[in-house]
Amino acid sequence: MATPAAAAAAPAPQLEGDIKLVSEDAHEFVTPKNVAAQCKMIKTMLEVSEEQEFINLPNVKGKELEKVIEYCRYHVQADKPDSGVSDNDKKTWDENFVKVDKETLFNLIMAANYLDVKSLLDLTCATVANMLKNKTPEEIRREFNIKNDLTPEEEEEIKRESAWLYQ
Amino acid sequence: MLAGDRALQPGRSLFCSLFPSMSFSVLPDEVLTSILQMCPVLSLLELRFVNRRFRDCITPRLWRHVFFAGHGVLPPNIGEDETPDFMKLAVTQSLFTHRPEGFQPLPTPEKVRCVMLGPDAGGKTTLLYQWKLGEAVTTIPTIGFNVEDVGQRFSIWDVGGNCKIRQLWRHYLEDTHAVLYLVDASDPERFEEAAESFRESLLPVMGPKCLVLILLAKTNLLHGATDMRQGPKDLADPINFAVARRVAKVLRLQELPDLAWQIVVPSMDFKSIEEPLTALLDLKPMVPKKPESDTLLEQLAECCAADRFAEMADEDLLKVRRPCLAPGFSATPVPQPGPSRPLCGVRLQLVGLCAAVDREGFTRWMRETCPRVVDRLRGMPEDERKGLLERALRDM
Repeated sequence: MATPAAAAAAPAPQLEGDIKLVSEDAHEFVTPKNVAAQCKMIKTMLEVSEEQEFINLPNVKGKELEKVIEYCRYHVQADKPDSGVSDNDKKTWDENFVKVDKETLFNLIMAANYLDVKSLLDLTCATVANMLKNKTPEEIRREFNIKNDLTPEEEEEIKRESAWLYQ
Repeated sequence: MLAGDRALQPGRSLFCSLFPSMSFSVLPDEVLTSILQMCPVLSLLELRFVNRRFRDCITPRLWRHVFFAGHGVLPPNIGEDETPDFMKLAVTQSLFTHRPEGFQPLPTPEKVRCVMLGPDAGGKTTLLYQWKLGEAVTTIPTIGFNVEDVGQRFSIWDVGGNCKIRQLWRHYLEDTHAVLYLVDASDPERFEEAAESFRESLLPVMGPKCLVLILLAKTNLLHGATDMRQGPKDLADPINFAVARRVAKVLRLQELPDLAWQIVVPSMDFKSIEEPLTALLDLKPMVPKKPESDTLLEQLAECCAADRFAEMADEDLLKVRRPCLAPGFSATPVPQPGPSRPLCGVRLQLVGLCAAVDREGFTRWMRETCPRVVDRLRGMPEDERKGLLERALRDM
């Protein structure tokens, strides 16, 4: 229970100090609360209870959690108005950040989705969208190991939907 | 076992073979949908063929999102009970609009200066006065120019297109935001001439920040109508689509990656030009003067601060750029469009309120000010729509 004085003084949660984040595979990351709060999901948990010392994240592995924290840490710093980091620098940093193998990328998407970090979700989704650009369906299936489960009739049906374009 | 064998298959990366599950199958539908929303329209057409899941995620709703995200403007001839084919609209839009990455239009102080060019007898002057006066006037070949203010901030210079005076075009192009290049769609024999003057008299003298709207005039004749007001005025129409493709090809627009351009079928309403220009020039919507304060509306805004209409807001309400002047309301609660979802919620609340106060006036107002919301509401199952409006009313 918060003291009445504290409750009156601060309706918004205090984001000072550190919080320990524990991944699915029991890796622990001691992270400043304001960095962790970039994840909307963690922010909500911090708001609900200010007293807790650690948060269990059963859906995120240590490797991805580390990346997400790295992302949040950078953006907390760089997005400050007086950080002196240009938008271009941030863009370059983001581009390098998502230069990872596909497994990590998909796991990062899942982590960003679960932890609710919208900008990271957008960034990773855009990266995948970029991989899908200007490729034939066959190339995409091969690259992402997707099985084509469309019957020839269904393919015909899809073609018919856009037949007007090829007349 | 098999990991090794599979890795040997040609064309498969080692990674995919070892971790066959690490792919789109792990992503929930809504994440796959957001990925697809970021793909270019023409890629989406291909992506439908990847597998059933991709096909099923590329819904009319997704096309709709892509269309509006690309500043799509619904064609005026969509009937009351029609659901537009958003795939067609989105593809058409992407085929006939090109805005190079990093394109910077001229800054627009007060007036936006447009110059209307194109071969003679294309109908430039007729169109200008149709926009200005709302009626068809009889014109004679323009030797010099006509200039009129149209819409709220556009001044349009209509310059004679006779071949002997085309070299004068360049004198009109200084400080010009946009060229409206008019091509007579009903006269394919002059397409080459239009293309030649486009390449020789216009492109070399046009500033890099100027954009081109290519207007397909007289499309009514292609539809067998003599009255210029008649016939479909959108590019999703098959005849218009075909002629737009042909004109794009003749003008060799694909060879001009640095030029910002769009092909438009002008309607008799200047809005058909104003809307694409506003989008391409990044013009801010004209914001009406700040309304008198209205406590009812303020209360509304307060109690709707929750994000409960987020989805609706994404799809439609963000696109409603016009002020909310509903019957019985003298005020405009949210004049600024913007990604502020709660405020968009307010609009929806208002919709509910107006529906209760004055049904007939409400319907008329809705159709005039925000056809897309109407469209979206219409597309909902009856129960869902009722529930939504009731909730909107109850929450006030």
